[in-house]
This record gives sequence, C-alpha cells and structure tokens, in this order.
Amino acid sequence: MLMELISILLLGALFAWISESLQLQLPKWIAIATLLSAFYPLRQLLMELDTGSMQVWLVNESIEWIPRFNIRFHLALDGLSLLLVLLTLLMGLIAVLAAWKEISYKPGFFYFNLLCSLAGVIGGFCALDLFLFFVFWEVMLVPMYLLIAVWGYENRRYAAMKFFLFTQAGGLIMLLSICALVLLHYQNSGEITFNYFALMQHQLSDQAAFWVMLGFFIAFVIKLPIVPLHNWLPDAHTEAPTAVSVILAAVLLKTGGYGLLRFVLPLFPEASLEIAPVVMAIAAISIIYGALMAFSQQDLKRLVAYSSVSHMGFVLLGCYAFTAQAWQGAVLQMLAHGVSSAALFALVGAIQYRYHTRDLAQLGGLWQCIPKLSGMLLFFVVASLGMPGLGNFVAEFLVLVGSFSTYPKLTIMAATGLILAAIYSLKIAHQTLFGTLKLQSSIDLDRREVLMMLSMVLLLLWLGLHPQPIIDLAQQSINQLLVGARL
Amino acid sequence: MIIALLPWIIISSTALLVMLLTAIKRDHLYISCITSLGLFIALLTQTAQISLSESMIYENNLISINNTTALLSALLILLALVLSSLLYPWLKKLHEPSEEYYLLFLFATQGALVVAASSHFGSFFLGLELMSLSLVAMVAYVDKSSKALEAGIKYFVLSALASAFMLMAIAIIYLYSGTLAFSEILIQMSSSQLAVASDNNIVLSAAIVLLLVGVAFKLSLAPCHLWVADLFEGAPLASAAFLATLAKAAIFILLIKLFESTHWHQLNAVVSIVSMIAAASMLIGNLLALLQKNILRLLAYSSIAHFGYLLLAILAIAPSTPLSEQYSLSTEAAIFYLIAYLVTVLSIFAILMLLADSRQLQNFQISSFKGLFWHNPAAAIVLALLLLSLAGIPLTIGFVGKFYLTLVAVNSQLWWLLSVLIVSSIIGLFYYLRIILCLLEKTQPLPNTKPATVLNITILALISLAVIGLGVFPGQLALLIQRIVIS
Repeated sequence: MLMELISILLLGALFAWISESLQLQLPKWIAIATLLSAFYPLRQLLMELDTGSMQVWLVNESIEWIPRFNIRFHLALDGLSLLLVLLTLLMGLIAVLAAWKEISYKPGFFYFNLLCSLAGVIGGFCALDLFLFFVFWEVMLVPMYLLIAVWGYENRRYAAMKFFLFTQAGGLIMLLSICALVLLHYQNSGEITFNYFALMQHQLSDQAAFWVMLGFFIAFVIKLPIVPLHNWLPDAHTEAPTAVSVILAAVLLKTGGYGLLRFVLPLFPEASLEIAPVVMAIAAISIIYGALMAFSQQDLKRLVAYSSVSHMGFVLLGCYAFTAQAWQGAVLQMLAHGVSSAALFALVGAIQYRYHTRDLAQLGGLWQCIPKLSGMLLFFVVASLGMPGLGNFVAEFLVLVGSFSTYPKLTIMAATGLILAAIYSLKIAHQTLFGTLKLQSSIDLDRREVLMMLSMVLLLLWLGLHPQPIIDLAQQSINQLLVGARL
Repeated sequence: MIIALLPWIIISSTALLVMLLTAIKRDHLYISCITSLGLFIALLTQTAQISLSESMIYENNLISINNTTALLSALLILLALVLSSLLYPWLKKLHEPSEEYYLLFLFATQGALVVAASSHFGSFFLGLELMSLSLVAMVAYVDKSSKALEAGIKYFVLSALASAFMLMAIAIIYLYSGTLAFSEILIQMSSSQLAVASDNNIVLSAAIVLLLVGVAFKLSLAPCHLWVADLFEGAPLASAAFLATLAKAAIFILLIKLFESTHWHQLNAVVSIVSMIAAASMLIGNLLALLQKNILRLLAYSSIAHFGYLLLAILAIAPSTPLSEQYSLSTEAAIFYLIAYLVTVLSIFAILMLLADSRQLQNFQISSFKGLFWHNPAAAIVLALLLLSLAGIPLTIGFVGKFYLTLVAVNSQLWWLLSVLIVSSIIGLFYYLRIILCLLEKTQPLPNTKPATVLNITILALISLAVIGLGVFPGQLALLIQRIVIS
C-alpha cells in the first residue's frame, strides 16, 4: 500500500517531466492527477478507520533490500504517520495550485522535482528501517535544492546552497549516529540490524546513549528549525517560489518534528529526559527570538518565515515536556502550522504576483482594491496568532498546558511568545491591509485561489473546533511514547 | 597455475599481437578491435575463475592470486575494457599515429594487474615501473600540445623520484628482514633478535614512511599531491582517465594487501602518519577543489580527497578496539568504496570524452558547461548524477560506498578522522553543487546542437544504469564482496 503510494508519486513525476515536450500545460494537470490518485491506495484504510479499536500499526510492509547488513525496505504507518502523510498530500495539492500560473519556465521539470520531494517526505514519514529513513531523508533534499536553485528569486543560488549544506551537515551527523547505534546493538546482540523495533529494545549505556542521541537530535532540530540552527530557513523561504515555500513550511519542517517523536524520544528515552530542561529552554528562546525577528522584518515573506521558527519552537517544547497533552499539542501544532503557514505563504505569493513586491513599506490599503485576498489574509494572520476556534490555538494551548506541569517557568517564558505572535501578526494585517493604498491592482483572487484558500480555512476550522478525531488518531502513537518513557 | 595466470597471458599476447600488427600493417580499426577483444576475453576468463572455484588460490614467491585479488583484477580489466572502447573515436580525431597508444595502454594495464597481484617487493616494483613508464609515454602522447609534454616530463621526473624513495625503503626492509616477500617480512622480523631492540623500530618506521611517500605520490595524497592537477589538465583525456582510475586503483589494492598481510598498523608511528595523510588529503583536496575553474583540475583535487577517505578504510583494517568483530568489514568497505569511486570517475571521463566530441568546451572550463541541462539533457543529467555520486548522495553508488566507510570508521572509533570526513564532505558538496548549478543555468538554446548518436545514448544509459542501479540495489554486489573477502 505504502510502496504503491510512493511509486505512484514517482511515476507521476516521471510522466509530468516527459509530458512537458508534448504540451506545456500538461505537467500541472498530471501533477494534480498524481496527487489525487495517491489517495487511492489509502482509500480502504481511511474508510475503515476506527479510532476506538485501532492497532498501533495500521500498515506494515517489509521486503529484503540489502541482505549484507540486514537492511530491509520497511514501511509502516501508525496514526502519527498517517496524519502527516495526509498533510503532505493535501499541501502538495495546495502547492501545485499555488504554482499554477507562477511557474512557466520548464514546468515539467518543476513538477518532477515537486513530486519527487513529496515522495521522499512520505517515505520518510513511513520508514521504519533507519537506513531507509536516512535515504529518504536525504533524497527529499536534492529536488528541493533544485526547486529553489532554478525557480527561485534573485538570490536563489546562495539560499539553495545554504539550505542544502545545513541539512546535509545534519544528515551526515545522523548517519554517524545511526552507524554507532547499529554497531553498539551488534556488540550486545551479535546481530546487525537497522530495524526500528529491534534497536528500540536495546539499552545503551548512559554516555553512549547521550552521544548517539545528540547526532539524531542535531539533524532534526536543524530541519525544524531551532535557534541557533535556523539560519537557512529565512533565506530559503525568501528566495523560493511560492509553491516551494508552501511545501517547505507545511511539510519539510515537519519531518524534523516527526523525527523527534518517532526516533529520538523512543530510542533514547532516558537521555532525552536528561537533556529535556536544556532543550525546553532552547525551545522557549527559539519561540521568543523567532517572534522578535519576525516583528523586525520588512520583507513580508521573511516575516512569515521567522514566524515559522517561532511556531516550530512550540513543537520542540511539546516534544520534550514528557506529558501526553504536550505531545498531542506538538502533533496538532505540526498540522495546524502546516496549514496556516502554507496559506500565509500562498497569500504572500499571490500578493507578490500582483504587486511584484513583498516590502511592507510599499504595500498598504489592500482591502480597498482586493477584498477577497485581504479577508483571507486577515483570517490566516489571526489563525497564526492563536485565535480560539482555530487549529493553532488548540495546539499551542495543549502544548502549554502539558508543559506547565513539568517545567512551569520555561512554559511561562514560552507563553510570552503568544503575545509577541499577536504583535507581529497584527503588524502584517495593519501594514498590508489598512492605511493608504499605495499600489493599484484590481485583480482579486480567482476561482482557483479561492478554492485553495477556502479548503485551508475549513481545515483550520475543523482542527480548531473538532480536533478530537485527530487526537484519537495520534493517541496510540503517544501511548507508545508514554510506555517507552515509562511515565 | 596456467588458469590463474590466463588473463595475464591473454593481455600480454594481445600486446605482442598489437606490436606485430603495427609493424606489419597499420590499421587503427583492427588494432582497436583486437585490443578490446583481448581485454574482453581476459575479463571473461577472470570472472570465470571467480565464479568457478572456491579455492582458486595461486601463490608463488612473487605473486599471490586469491579470490579478492581475482575480483579486483576483474575490476581493473573491466575498467580497461570500458576505456579501450572509448579510445577509437577519440584517437581518430587526434590525427596522430594512434596504434602505439593501444600498445602502451595494454602494457600499462598489465603493469597495473601485476602490482595488484604482487606479494613480493620485486614483482611489485617491476609492475609499478611497467605501468609508470607506459603512462609517461601516454601522458606525453599528443606532441603538438606543449601542456601534454610538460605534464609528461613532470610525471616522469616525479615518478622516478617516488620510485627512488620506494627502492630505498625496500632496501632497508630487506636489511632488517632478509626477505622481500610480504608475508615473510613479519615472521623474519619477529624471529630475528634485532627487531626486539627499540631503535630498529625507528629505522624500520623510517623505511615504512619512505614507502608511504612513494605510495602517497602515486595516489596523489597530500602532501605529495602537487603534480596531479597539472597532469589531469595537461594529459590527453584517455591518459588522465587511466591515471585517475587504473593506476591509482592498482596501488591502492597493494596498500590494502600490505596492511592486511604485514600488520604495520601495530607500529604507532605508521598509524599516526597514515591518519595525518588521510586528514590532510581530505581537507586539502576539497579546499583546493573549491578554487578550481577547470573541471579536470577539480576532478584531480577531488580524487585527492577521495583517496583520503579511502585511507580511513585502510586504517580501520586492524582497529585497536573494534565495536564489532567483523574484521572482514573494513576490507569490504575499502573494496566497495574503490569500486564505487572508480566506476563514477571513469564515467565522468567517458562523458567528458563524449562532450569533447560534440561541443566546443574551452579546455573544460566549468563555465563552458553552462546551460548544458537545457540543450543536452541526457548528458547533463548523467553528469549531475555522477557528481551526486561523488558527493555521496543516496540512491547513487557513491552513497553506498560512503555508508560503508562511515560504518567501518565508527566501528574502529576513528572519531577525529570522522569529524574531518564530515567537514570535508560538506566542503566537497559545495563544489559539486556548483557544477550542477552551472549545468542548470538558464541560457539561450544553442543554434547548432547535433542530435545525440545511438552510441552516445547507449554509453549514457549504461553509465546511469551502473551508478543508479548499484546505488539503489547494492545488495548483490555487497554479498559478492563479502563472500569473496571471507573466503
């Protein structure tokens, strides 16, 4: 089922590329068709999903790959993975819609890269063999790099290079950790394996666990990203085309959070618990620093990028609070931020498409000429500042409630991030939507864009008003974490 | 005995046949076919030997051919065969008498095979000189180009110097052990009373250092690397390709054998010197590659770095405190990485030879590759894949090699060398990506692009099949190497 899913995406990618030579409009339709048909393998699973009597692993597929090291092509799906896979596919659709008119240069190769990176991300969300996970982790980067480097704005090469080098450095450190973990396991059990479950059983000595854990941790927080390793994100977002920003914010950053929940916490529960206070402090700093930096930006896209740093700090905070609510909050935050930041980037892209600028000083009074776009922007800005009734509020509230019981002081610090979020969010609304109209343009959102935005509005409302199904779906995975951490 | 030596006999007689034919009647096509045919038959017999017998071990005083040697010899012959098949169209354009080139080529191949199979300093030196002297003539083959002549003289003088160092080393070793056979040196040394005294170790270490200087020169490891960039740039492409692949591989195979059979790693001085050479090569190679504007010079510096990586596997052959007792793993890693590197580099040279054919590349400046992706997509994609393989990105054979290397280095706990490896890999990534960016640059389509020929397409397809095929499914190759190394 999962292998089919990934092969559909890869095949679609190939078709999109080939179809370019026939007709320039064809690739985007193929991309949409591919993403829609990617739901097909999941149909049975989604129909019969019963969160009440659910098993931990909904799907489990494994075939032999490299027998020399007992490496298997092992894909599996639990509630957490399923949520993120669905998010990936939905946001993939949004990204294709966002690129609809913007990408005219070599569209076939563009959609090829887009679909390949989505395939890599989905593989990463499903892989339960550490070697396989690493392969997917790296594979999603190359197409992403090309997307930024070829279709980005003026300073794209610098941004693409920075993105690739940062994440690659993290990846190499993780590779060392994977090797060390496997060899330590071999030393004890006499069996070489990269299997997640086998390695989870293994007890490492405190010191070894710390160092091995650190390798994974660094790789994941670079991706998340967390201050001081966040440097690549604002550049990558600013230079990337809209669709790529959408994917980057909505999906790629989530692989970092997923990695923490799936690998770092279960594989090294004691070591994680030990460094938790430090990490919580880093998370709080990241939340506040991201918010402050967001406030000081003049470039609208950079502002949204820094707000991502701030919001992803809540994911890290939730991961290391070691309570069920905080973990639930982290998962919800990944989903809600995925949707809201994707929408914000898409809107910024729409503004840039119309006015050819993202400079806050040059924008203003948009509400007078393009009310639909402005209304949407206001909605998502409000979502991002954590208005009750929308997804981000539920997520951040759960994270803060969950963390308060274990680390009250740091949680209070982090909570100030919400106030700062209100400040920078209102700054966006204030400086773009209201005031005197500086640039004229009367092209409001067209039907495609309205459809795109409305679907995300609905998703956020659902996450905000009725998050229980999502919480139920993630519950089994969270329970596994609780068992692992012996809480 | 005849069976074990059959490939050598075939290659030597092919060389003799080529010589006779050249004397009787010059015909480029015939001689090219005979060369390829001879190498092909030699390859067949060599692979037949590997697959036929478990105990195909032939040993005498001078040479020992076990399964590992047979595998590596097959690899060398395969590389020579691929290279020889590229020679005909390339030599045809040179308007020089081309038949002698095949003769030199066969002699150099024979020399490389002797070096790889030698188990005695006498045969080693003979093979080395046969290879080096043929190479000198090959490097200086195109006499119209002053650069080639300069490169030839440079190589000749420095190679003679390196040989002198090695002869001195061999003489000292003989002085202490009274034997030149690799396997007996250790026995003789430990039985003789001289070896017990500590000052002997100093002299012996000096001898080994002298030997390492010679080897480092041949492998162009830092600090004996200064010649290599000029040579790659100045020499005719095919000669540079031979030098980069077969010549270096043969010496490296010898180095593996020396470390395995003589236990020099027990001498701390040797281990620390080899470690320093490895670290210096990784860093210097990659740092200098950053500055290059010519792709051949860049390849030269990257080869310095790659042989630096390979030294890690050599150092891991007998670790002091292994995490696991899989002693064969280090040799396997060295062999796999060597195969991955050779296949990739030879493919790059093959593409350069094809491109030199069809396009004006101003002396292989990187800037002349601008926009190749848009007007010769097939060649550009394969070139990009090969560069990613050199950079060690997953789904290419280069990544599997790097994975092996990391695994054994972690196993042997070579932590500081591993950190150098990570830093230099990141630096390396930078310049590989730079070339890929150059390939992707937007340019106007060239007016006179020739359609790719069938031959070119086949070569490109074969290359990508090897690099990606073995990168995605390395299982069988890994098992084969394991079986052969263990037996």
